[in-house]
Amino acid sequence: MKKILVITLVLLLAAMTAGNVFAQSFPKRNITAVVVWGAGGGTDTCNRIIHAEMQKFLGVNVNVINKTGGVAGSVGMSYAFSRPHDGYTLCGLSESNVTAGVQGGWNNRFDVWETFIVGGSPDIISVTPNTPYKTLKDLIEAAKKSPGKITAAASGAGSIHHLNLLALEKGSGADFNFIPYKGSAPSQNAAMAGEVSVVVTSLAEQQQLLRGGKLRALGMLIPDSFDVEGLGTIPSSFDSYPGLSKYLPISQAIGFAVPADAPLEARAALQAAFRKAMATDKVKNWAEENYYLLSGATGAESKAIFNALESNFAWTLWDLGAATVKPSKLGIPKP
Amino acid sequence: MLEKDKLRKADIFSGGIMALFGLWIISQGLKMPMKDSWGGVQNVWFVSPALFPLFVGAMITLLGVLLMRTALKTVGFNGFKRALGWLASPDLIRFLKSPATMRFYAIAGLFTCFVYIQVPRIDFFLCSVLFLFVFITMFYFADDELLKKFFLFYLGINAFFLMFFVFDLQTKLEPVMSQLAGWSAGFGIQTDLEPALAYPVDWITMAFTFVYFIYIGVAIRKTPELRKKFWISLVLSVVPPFLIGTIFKYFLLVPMPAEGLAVWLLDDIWYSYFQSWFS
Amino acid sequence: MLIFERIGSFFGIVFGIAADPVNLAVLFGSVLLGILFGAMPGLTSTLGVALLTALTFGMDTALAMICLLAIYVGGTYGGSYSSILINIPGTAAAAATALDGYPLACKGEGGRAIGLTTTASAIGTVISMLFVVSISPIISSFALQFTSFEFFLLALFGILISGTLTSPDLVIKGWISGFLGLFLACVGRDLLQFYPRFTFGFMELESGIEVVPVLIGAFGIPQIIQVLKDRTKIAEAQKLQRIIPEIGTVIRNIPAIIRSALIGVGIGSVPGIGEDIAGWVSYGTAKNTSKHPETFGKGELKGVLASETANNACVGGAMIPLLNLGIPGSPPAAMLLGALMLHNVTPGPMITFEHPTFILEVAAILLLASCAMWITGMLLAKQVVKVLRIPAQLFMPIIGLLCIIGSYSLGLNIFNLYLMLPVGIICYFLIEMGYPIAPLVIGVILGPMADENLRRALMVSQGSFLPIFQRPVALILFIIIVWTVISQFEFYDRIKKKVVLFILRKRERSTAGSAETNNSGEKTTD
Repeated sequence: MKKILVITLVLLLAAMTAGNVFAQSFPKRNITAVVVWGAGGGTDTCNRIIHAEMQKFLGVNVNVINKTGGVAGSVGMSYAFSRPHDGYTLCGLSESNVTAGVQGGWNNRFDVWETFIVGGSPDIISVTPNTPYKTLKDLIEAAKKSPGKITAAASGAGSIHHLNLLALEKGSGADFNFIPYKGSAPSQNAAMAGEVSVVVTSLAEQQQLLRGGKLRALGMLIPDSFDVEGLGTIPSSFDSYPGLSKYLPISQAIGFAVPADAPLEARAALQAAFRKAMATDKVKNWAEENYYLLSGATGAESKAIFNALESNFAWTLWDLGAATVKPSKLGIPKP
Repeated sequence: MLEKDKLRKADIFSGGIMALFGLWIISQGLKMPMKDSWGGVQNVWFVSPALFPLFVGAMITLLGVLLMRTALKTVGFNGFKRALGWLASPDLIRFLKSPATMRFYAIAGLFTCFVYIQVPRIDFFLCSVLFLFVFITMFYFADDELLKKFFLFYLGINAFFLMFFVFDLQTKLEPVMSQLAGWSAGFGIQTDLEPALAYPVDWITMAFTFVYFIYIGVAIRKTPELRKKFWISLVLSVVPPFLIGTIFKYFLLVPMPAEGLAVWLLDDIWYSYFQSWFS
Repeated sequence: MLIFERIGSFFGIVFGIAADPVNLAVLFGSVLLGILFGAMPGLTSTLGVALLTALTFGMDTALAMICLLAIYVGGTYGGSYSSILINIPGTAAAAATALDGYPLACKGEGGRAIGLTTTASAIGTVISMLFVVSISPIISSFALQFTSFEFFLLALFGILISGTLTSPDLVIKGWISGFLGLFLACVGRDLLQFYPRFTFGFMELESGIEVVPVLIGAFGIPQIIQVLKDRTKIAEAQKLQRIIPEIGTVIRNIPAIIRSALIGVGIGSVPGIGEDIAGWVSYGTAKNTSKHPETFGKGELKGVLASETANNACVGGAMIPLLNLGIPGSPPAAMLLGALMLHNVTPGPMITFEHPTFILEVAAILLLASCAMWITGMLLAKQVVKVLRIPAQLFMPIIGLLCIIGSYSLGLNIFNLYLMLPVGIICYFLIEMGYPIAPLVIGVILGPMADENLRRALMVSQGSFLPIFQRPVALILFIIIVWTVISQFEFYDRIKKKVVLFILRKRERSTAGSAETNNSGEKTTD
């Protein structure tokens, strides 16, 4: 027991001497970024890249941890939100998290967060190489002729890729048989194996398979065409179906967030570091090599983007019958 | 595992429970949407979320009934009657009170209290020291009487904590703690110690660990041969939590379930002495 | 000629890596860390790879790959320690090892078993590495043969075979246990339509029950209760330990080791399932082809060798679809995929053009890691057995603490802890009543796969089961499943005897001399 007493005393003394070392205001100690999706996913990678750069400008380490589970990452989000709102706990998230509210995992609207958007990879529609569809027109016309017969894969109901598929259906009038998969990789796998004919995922996830000839790209689901090395230019699907512009693009918005009521000083410091980090060559090169489009939106700009995403996702899910809480109950306006 | 003959008798009951459980799964499965659209996927019988639970439930029911049949065939109806008779006899009470069963209660109770009451709310380092201390001394001393005593003591501690958390004494203690902080400031111990006072639960846990330490000391007063075991238990209940915890928290960057007094101290040491080496 | 050139550049890379002392230090350090993660009950190799993924972010790609692959190899191997010595498998794969490994340890042959598995694991990894170097594109096209129906059948087969093999009592109980696992897997939002099943309003249950807490609870807690409650000694610590690997025994078992390695590579290369199934299938094959199947489960070295070789060979197998298609073949491989993405390497068909030597580098690291694992393992085997000399009463409480922190750390979820404990206590009662527990864990692992793929397969085929009989891989799997189930019933034996007798009589009539050799031939295939 004596030993314990001595140890405790030593520890206490050490603690007392430690108190006055820091003079800088924010950040004084390490920051923790809670990523609500698993290690190695798009959100996780994005967060690790940006935080590795940001910590150089902040002067402290940013530790990235993963806390998964719940609906639409609600467990990690609730955890990050329950920590003190002092700017020392960030939440790494993506556009898919906006559905946590209507799915009953989160009692707030999304604007309790101040968001920082790193960017995202644009969605693309592709087919199995041995199908007869050479262009998007071929595919859409075939789907119109036999509605609900052509199988189309995307990750789970209500995911960003499913929303893109739905928007494509609405904008072009085609009707596919939607087959959900557990994520982008299994859905692409199924398209390669020929189990389904059509697949919608992001370019970052698909580029290897497209360039390797395992899948055939038909069109980007954004207003612009896209140059892919070794494959040439993938046309925008808006070229053949201008009506799509009414529903698309629905873009990924990967980044991180801090509670909106965190001290102004902390938010300002984070913003400054975020802007500097976005301008570094490392982030730019990473984005280019991985087919990401950088955004860099913060403050009011990113708030507007997330509000739009939230209302779009929430009401789409409600219309599909996959939401448990009515969006209007949370005060989410219709898109 | 039980002996063959007893096992067959137990099988009759376990098979029955399994069959009932399977029926319950089926009844729950039938409540799930079968046809209407859900989640934007066209819904037919083979897409229904109920399909798999119904299959699993049916298989469990079927296998449960098969198991009962096999067991009844082996022991016969008389064996089944005897098993029922045993359940109503004083033998059952004797079995439930046997030392081996007592040990089972102790382990299960210890884990339950630790996991549900302490880990989520009390500093991980401090509560695991107490947990290990009780756990090791209970079994390492190899004395069923002592085991019972120690277990009851731990139960008592947890009853206190349960009250503490249920009635939210923490917030009620806050004025007292700030009073304490005021005094300490009066003694010239500056603000640095103040944050430590924000963790009353952790202080209480430390106090309990100390009381428990004294309690064992008194309990084994008359058996000096246990004294060596006592010190070994103490070392083994203090070192591993700090070793494992420090590795997880600072090397593998895993935050602890609840971070309080000990983590606050370690953090301070970490940031003032070691952090600078790394960055 | 191309192949020689490839082999030449391969060894160039091997020596290139081995020449750098930093690489070697990281290699050995990571293997050791992996072994520790695998060997400590409560900590798993998946957790090890997951935690280290974050830490290797700052390293350059080659060094990070060395670190992660070495942990993966070491962790897969290290799982055998705890299952052999104290009967707490660190992974579902090592559960097959525990079946025979723990009885061996009880006989005082724990050290010998560990020594032999070390060599077998190293051979398994090297064989799988050969496949990665030589014919990985062919194997990855085999992986593409798997569509939803095959995945469903494979998952069902995994549950049935582990149920059949593990039962110490009636086989029915093994199957019940497997289906209980499948039930646990149903909990949560269903993966196709997002309908909440059996969640009872708990938000934490909506994402389903995680494997790691179930694994830790099911294997760890019952063993802690049993040992402490009955005051049993864990196992015998042998006085005289052989450190030299028994080359003779290894050589005698070479055919079995190679067969197990092939099974491991094959199963590892199928996306989504990994070491756990490989270990069981290999163990089952060893038991079914053995002349003395009754010795299995009572301390048969061949059983330990079979499962350990296969689960280590699985590491290389899992790399094949990961590198060639970007599809992870096992849960830790999924973590590795993440780590690669972090280092700006996107595996896929184009990897040979973008990073021409990358696959060879991975193979080289696998080779070096298996060497490092063998050396470390041989040095450790002797020391690890000494753990058994520590009284269980000191040992088990600390394992209890490890179980708690281990089930919390992956995902940082306290709810997983709340889940781990009741699962553990229920499993204790199940074990007491003669239900094996490994099928339950396998059920939780494979349940989502079985559920999702069955329904998706029917969605694609519009409700028809016909594709099972039209697709070759599906048909083979279906026949094996039917055989596994039927062979457990009495009437199967009767029919088999009749058939055998019938064939024998026919042959006796033709030539009396060759009948005897035929007879013995029949017996081995029984």
